[in-house]
Amino acid sequence: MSDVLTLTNVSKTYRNDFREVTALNNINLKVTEKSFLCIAGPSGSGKTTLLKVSAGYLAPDTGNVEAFGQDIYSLPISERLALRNRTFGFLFQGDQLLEDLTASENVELPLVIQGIPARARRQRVRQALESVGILALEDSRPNEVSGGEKRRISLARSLINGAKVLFADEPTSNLDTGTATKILQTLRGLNRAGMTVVTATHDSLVAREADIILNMRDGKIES
Amino acid sequence: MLLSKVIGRKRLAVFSAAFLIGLLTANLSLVLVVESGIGLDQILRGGETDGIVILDQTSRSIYTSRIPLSLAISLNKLPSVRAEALLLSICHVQGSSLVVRGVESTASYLPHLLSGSMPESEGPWVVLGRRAAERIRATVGRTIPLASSIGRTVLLLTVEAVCDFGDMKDDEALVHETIARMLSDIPSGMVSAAIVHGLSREKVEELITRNYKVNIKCVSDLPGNLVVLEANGLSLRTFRVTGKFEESFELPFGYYTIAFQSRYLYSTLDTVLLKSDQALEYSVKAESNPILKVASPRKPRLQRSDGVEVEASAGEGLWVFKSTPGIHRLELDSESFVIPLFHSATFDPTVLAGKTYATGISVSWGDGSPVSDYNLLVKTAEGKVVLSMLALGGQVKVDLQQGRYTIEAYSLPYSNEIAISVPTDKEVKLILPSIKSNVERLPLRYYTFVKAMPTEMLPAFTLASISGLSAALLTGLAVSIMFLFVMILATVQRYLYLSAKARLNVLSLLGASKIFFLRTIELPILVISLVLGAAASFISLTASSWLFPMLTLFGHSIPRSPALTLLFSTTIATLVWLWGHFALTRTVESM
Repeated sequence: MSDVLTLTNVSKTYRNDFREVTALNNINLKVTEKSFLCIAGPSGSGKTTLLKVSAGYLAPDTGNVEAFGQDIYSLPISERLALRNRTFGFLFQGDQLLEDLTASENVELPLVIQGIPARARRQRVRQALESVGILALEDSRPNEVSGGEKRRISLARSLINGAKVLFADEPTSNLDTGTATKILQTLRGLNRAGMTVVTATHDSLVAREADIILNMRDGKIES
Repeated sequence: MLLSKVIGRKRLAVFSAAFLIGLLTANLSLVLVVESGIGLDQILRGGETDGIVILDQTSRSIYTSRIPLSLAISLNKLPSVRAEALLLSICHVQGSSLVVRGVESTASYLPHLLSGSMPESEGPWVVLGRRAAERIRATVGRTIPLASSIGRTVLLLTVEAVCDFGDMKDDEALVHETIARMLSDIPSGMVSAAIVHGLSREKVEELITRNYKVNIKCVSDLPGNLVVLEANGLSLRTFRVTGKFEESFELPFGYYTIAFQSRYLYSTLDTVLLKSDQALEYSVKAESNPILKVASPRKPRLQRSDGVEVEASAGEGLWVFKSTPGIHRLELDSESFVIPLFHSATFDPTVLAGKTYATGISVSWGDGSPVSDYNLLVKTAEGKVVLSMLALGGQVKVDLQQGRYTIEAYSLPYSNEIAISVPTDKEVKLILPSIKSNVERLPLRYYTFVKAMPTEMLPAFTLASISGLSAALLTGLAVSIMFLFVMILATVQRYLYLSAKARLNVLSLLGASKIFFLRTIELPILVISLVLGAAASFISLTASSWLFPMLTLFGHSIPRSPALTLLFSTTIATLVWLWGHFALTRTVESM
């Protein structure tokens, strides 16, 4: 199977007036198509940074990040945004839902940004909600549903654009075991359907579902 | 609408309210400062838009300045130059201040008449400008008490007309110049200022701020005085002349009259517009023993004014009298005639026998006032005296046969003559040039501080003197206020974006580009800002239409400009939006 993501000598250091923190230290990584990769490690090990750098949200200080053979940080900003919007899906830590919007309105946002007409959006929104099992909540607002349901709305939003690669940052954080298991089953189902899944977590439940587990510590991959 | 979902309806409502209040306050403040500035500029110009204004520089303002009328008269004598005297003062009508402008005639304002009719003669009338009438709530026919702000004069004047002049006069009251002088305490012979067209400031200053050398040579057969009169008729210099005379002296720019004055003779020798050094030469010819011939079959009697009877001799069918110059009394056929005798003449009243035509004659002084008593002498074209009379009152009627005559009027030492053709349906007007002794007619030479400047400099000159303010400072104040409100409104808009930063961040994470933000967030905000700007302009105009008439500057209301108000609002709204656009772009780029 081909590589969908290749990171070569990638480093990232956060700086402020008082200190420097090396979040990624010379990372080399290949993610193959349809794999389920889990990046594990304690808080502050650089997991989220690695996810953001890989998904085109955060430019590395050194090194290259290639997606489908293209160096994504050498692309014009508009193309990189399009890549984030159409090729990648990102399940954010903390869900990042808009409180004034209903579940279906939140889910359709990537399509709105793409400029897809309302009629075409409606059908795809229903499909996305159905795929994560919350079609009944389409008119509910985020403050009217549970934490697990919020996570599903967020997941539906990251799937709506037909992403090939799904990045999930702590997909089970703040969820009870039962709900976390259901989320993981959904992710596993998506992976089996052909989607490449890259997760960052310190939850052993997630690690158990993954094909490949990479442990991170102090910005380096240990295994 | 995505905007309201992303930003939040409540936030948008608060933003709109704060933005509207901010814009409204900015608009009112700016319009007040800017329009006041513009209004003040126009007002301090005395409503004059171009030309060179001459005023007394120690007075510092056109409304308190006093300059001699003769200066305007003299400048008007220059070729291609139009000099106009301004008579302005600030008065009060029941607590509201009003600029009063004195005019000689209202005829030229007839095309601007809105209501009433234009007064044609001197009287206690007032013509109000449109805005002035609205401000003091006066209508045609109403009598208003106009109070001087300087003296204690209060005059009751009737509103004869209301006019739409289309300029500063819309805020003013026009009255006859005599009324204006009473209200402003400006004596006759003085005016507020003069406005000059057709001369540069440098030329005007050069003319009015230096003296010119005058050399006068005169030869006279009679002993008398050579008198130099100013344009207002006031005697400036008097020289005793006997035989040959020469004198050099200096005079300021002006229109002067050179006259010869003896006991029984006053004669204008010349008029001079003094604008460069001049050498003048005159010769005064007069008969020392004029001869009077009287056509009469019976011997007449002639008596000098000192009572001495003059001897008569007969010759050529006429009685001949040889006398000295002066007024004589002639008694003929039990009738008595007053004969001013300065040149040899023939008196033949028989010429008037036959059909005659009544001819009106009026004799007045140079300032228009009637001469109360004078001698009138009527001569035929051949020089025969056909009528001599002592007239009481300015107007008389004499019966003359058809023909050409010379009418001479004497009120010693002044005299004048005019040639007429009889019959005539017009009144014959004779003006006696005279030396005035009116102390109110202060001569130009006492005004050493007159200053000429373009009208656009006058507001800065006045402001700088009365409060240390300058037009530049006012502009600075307006710009500062504008900048302050732009900052406040930008802060309001920045708060809007900052408060929605987390939501905007979500869109950015989902791949929203700058174009997307521009299309879905910023352009609707611009539309809202512009709509709010237009609303603020409308409210501001409505508020100012109620507020501004209550505020007056030097008797003028503050002008209102809808275009300017709208321009302010939309400019500020756009500037603030641009500011917000850059702030949002930076925020999005940092996400």
